[in-house]
Amino acid sequence: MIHLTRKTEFSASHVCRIAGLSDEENFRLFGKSSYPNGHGHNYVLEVTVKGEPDPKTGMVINLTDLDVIIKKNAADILDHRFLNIDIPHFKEIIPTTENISLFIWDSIKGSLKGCALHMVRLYETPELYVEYYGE
Amino acid sequence: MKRPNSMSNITENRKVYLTRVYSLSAAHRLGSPYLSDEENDKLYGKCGRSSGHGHNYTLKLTLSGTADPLTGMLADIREIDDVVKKHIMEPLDHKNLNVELKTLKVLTSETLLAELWSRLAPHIKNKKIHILELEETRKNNFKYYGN
Repeated sequence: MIHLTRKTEFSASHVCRIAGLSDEENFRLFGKSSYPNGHGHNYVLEVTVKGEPDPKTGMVINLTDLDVIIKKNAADILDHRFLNIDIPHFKEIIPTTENISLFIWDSIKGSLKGCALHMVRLYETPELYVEYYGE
Repeated sequence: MKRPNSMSNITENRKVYLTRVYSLSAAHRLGSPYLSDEENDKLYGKCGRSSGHGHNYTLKLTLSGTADPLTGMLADIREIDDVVKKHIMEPLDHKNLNVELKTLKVLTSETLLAELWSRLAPHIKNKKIHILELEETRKNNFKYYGN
């Protein structure tokens, strides 16, 4: 069993707020991330898949194919967007790093063939990241 | 605070890991009181030189659990930062660890890491620390799972 990781980057803006709560209440929950006009990050996405190398090609998955799957289903959809406004999924759901990671997992999982999704790791900044293993 | 009932339960029963990375610069030296000067010198080499030396440590704190369905967050990172600042950064950053941590008989990255865990754990409320990781240099990495 080999684990293989592909790294992708995307840049997006977001805001963490709960509608119906005051600015003060939102700030208490989310801090600066609640400022109403939003802010942005350069997200770094690491997707790890696992599987046995194909005896013919020696590969778990063609990295180019994996890259296309990540971009088409997740990274390109989120790149240079305001997540709360442009992505229907995040109209109701707050685009925290946790929730974006779950969204990416759900978006990619069904498109992988011949290998299994092992982990999504999403860096919001180099000092803060979330991992999801499908647990 | 009233919890809006429109919140999605996307996070329900889904375990996420949240990692926060900190930088800690400090001096230390290796040396065991249970060994002679000669044995210490032989065992620790340049790491045991009497005046000490320093590192830019990288500390990675990983919490695990399910995100709060209200906020979509596993933890309020400001609270975690405050705990780390109060119990690790303020007492230890830019300090001499052998001076500040006299209770540690031998000050290796292993004993330091266990000490950092015990400083943090009582103050991380309602959250599980999954791993505490200490990079002494880019070549040396230590992980503690609390067991």
